[in-house]
Amino acid sequence: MEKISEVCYTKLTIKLITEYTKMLDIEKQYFTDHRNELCKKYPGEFVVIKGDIVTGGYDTQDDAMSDAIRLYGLDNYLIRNVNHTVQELNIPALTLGILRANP
Amino acid sequence: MPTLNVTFAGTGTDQNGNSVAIPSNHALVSAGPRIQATITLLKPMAATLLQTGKKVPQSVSGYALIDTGASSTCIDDAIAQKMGLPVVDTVQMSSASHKTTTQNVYPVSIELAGLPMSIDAPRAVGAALSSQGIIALIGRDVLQHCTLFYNGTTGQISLSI
Repeated sequence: MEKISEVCYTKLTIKLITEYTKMLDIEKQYFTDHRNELCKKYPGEFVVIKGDIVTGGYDTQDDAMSDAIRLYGLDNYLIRNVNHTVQELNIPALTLGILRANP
Repeated sequence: MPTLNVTFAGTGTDQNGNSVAIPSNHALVSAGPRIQATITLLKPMAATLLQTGKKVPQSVSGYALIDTGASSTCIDDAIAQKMGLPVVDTVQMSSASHKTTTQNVYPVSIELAGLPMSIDAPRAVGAALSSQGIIALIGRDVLQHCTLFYNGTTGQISLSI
């Protein structure tokens, strides 16, 4: 019984990890694949993407976020500016693991 | 301009095991510029949820560390998930122990105790912070809207928004 529970738990954990690592993968892929169209259709604007559906373009990030939560509630969705560039995240305390380093 | 003034204090034990007060400057060195904060869903989103009659995620309070070395504000990922905050993007982050990990991005507002307004962090990065006794790192994306004075000699900080 214990072994069955262990197997179930392991399978569940793997499933959860797999789902977690695939967070917004579909939306990000859609954004990458349709970037040129999005730039033409919504120049300089923010877009909301849920699955492969683009809900529209918005002048401000706040507008995009408000409409996204109105439509989809607390689900996950991608909100990006069409001119999105990968920015370097610089957080030494985390990247170096020195948040509470003691001498 | 609202200003938050904080004088740090702490206690330690002397050689006889008695509790003694630590000078403010030492307390600031030890704890860092931490302030009491409450994390909520980004205000414009919370307002929309309220208008549509939906439940707004419960806020979480704790300490936030002001980190001028961090380009982005971070919140504890476990807390964000427990609150049920939506993920609006992901970012890649490398660390000393892991090559590169994908971190969630959450839209939050941070209320600082003693300030009459909240600070919006629409793209806060989820990270494991709670084990360090903090719920958020306030980075330069938020600090670009603030004036921060760090007085190491007196053990005080002032944050104006």
